[in-house]
Amino acid sequence: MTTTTMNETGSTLGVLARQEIRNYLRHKLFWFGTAMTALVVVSMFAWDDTGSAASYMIAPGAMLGVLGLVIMFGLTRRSDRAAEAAGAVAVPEHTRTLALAGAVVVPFTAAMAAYIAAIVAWNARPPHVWVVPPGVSNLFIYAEMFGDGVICAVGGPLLGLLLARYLPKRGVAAIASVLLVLVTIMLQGNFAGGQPYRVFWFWTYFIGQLGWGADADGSIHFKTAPGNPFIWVLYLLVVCALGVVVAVFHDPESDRIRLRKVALGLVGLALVLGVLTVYVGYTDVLVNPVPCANC
Amino acid sequence: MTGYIARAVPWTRVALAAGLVVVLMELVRWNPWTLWPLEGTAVGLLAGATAWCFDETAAAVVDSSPRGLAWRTMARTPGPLLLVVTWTAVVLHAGDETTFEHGDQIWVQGVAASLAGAAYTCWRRSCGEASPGLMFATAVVPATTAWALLRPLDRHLPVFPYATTTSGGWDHSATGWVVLTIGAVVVLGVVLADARWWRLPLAMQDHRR
Repeated sequence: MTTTTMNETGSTLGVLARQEIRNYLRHKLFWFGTAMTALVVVSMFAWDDTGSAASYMIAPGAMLGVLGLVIMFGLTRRSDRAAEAAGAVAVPEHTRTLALAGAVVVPFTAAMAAYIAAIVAWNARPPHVWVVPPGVSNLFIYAEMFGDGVICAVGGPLLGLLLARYLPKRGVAAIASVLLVLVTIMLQGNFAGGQPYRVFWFWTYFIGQLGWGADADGSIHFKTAPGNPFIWVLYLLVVCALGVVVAVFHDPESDRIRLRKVALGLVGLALVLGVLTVYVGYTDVLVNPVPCANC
Repeated sequence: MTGYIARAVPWTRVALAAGLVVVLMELVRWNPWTLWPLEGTAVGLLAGATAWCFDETAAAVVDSSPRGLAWRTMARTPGPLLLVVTWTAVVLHAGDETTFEHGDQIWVQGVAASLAGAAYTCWRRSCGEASPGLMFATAVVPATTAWALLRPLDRHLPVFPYATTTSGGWDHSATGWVVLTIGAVVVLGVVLADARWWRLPLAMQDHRR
């Protein structure tokens, strides 16, 4: 009997997830974001300076992540309205939440394509000698790009899902997108010392022409901002998982006791990984001794 | 009309948007070289918040009342006016150093965005849609924010030009914003004049969908 119920739930979830994936794919904002991301991919290969791929993942982060927040908020509200219209026999909220979370496969796929293109560009058009400081490997760059591009393209929609569950008010998605960018831009690692605490945020830079001042002779050097991008990627994955659990937890009919335990475990794990991101590995600012020639 | 203004304009949202515009532009003033994308975010917010002011959640009742769309739109203008006054104040306060000596062009961006938001919403309202402003804001605010962060096609299509944009780029951008302003004013004029020849084909188009 239990097996039958689980199979039915699984089959409902599968059907709903496919429906939400189709809804996501039909959204005009998704295609606008994808087109803009593709445009930036083209510019990265065609006319941008070599090495631009290191900072390029802002494209999927903004165009698939920030817009994804709004898309998912809208899809969730639509799912809720449909459930209300269907009445008491409707699918439980936690199943609909999981189906909506499953739709992030759409921005994930688009962001992965952009990520692969960025890695190809990084290798096909190697960066200038003044870009990467000594001691920084290609894997370091790839990890930063994965966190900033792929995970943020998934994290944005998951944040939209959370907001729609806990703050289902008119205009919340638009205001949230502004606040998200407002905080993110302050935590790029662009201020004195590279802001080590910034790694607790969803998006940041680990390398770049970070602007906390030129040398006495006026020269500007590329540098790393403190923090370990490899552990940061794990931290972001845990935060995404936590987002899904908290969104499912909203349903009073869900197994809240178990979900609370899982959520607390994930919060603990996220905190540990965040602290490790700050203190393990790349704790210092690495500066490229070759001054930037076109900054 | 005073009672209508007090109830119809979403003052809380307008105040929130105006406050956010001040915060965004003050941050830009603090560090324009790093935080410049927030200027584009503020412009998008102006467009979205203005559009929001013209939503009519009780459209089914109100649209059949004797007060026409033009009267109701005029009655709601204090909301967008507050946003434009706020924008003017923050751009003036920002000064030439913050705006890379293009303060007038920056100001036009905000005004054009507000007018475009108003024009779009009034057009859709004239077609019977109840809350087009919310839909507009939900799409435009994050889209302009993402565009301002990324500035794609900046060499060819500088929507939110930056300090490093050439003077020709600033001129192209200004031309685009002025064209948007003129277009928005024309649409507003036609829609508020209640020109049925304008509404009819659009309504038929909607009906066919």
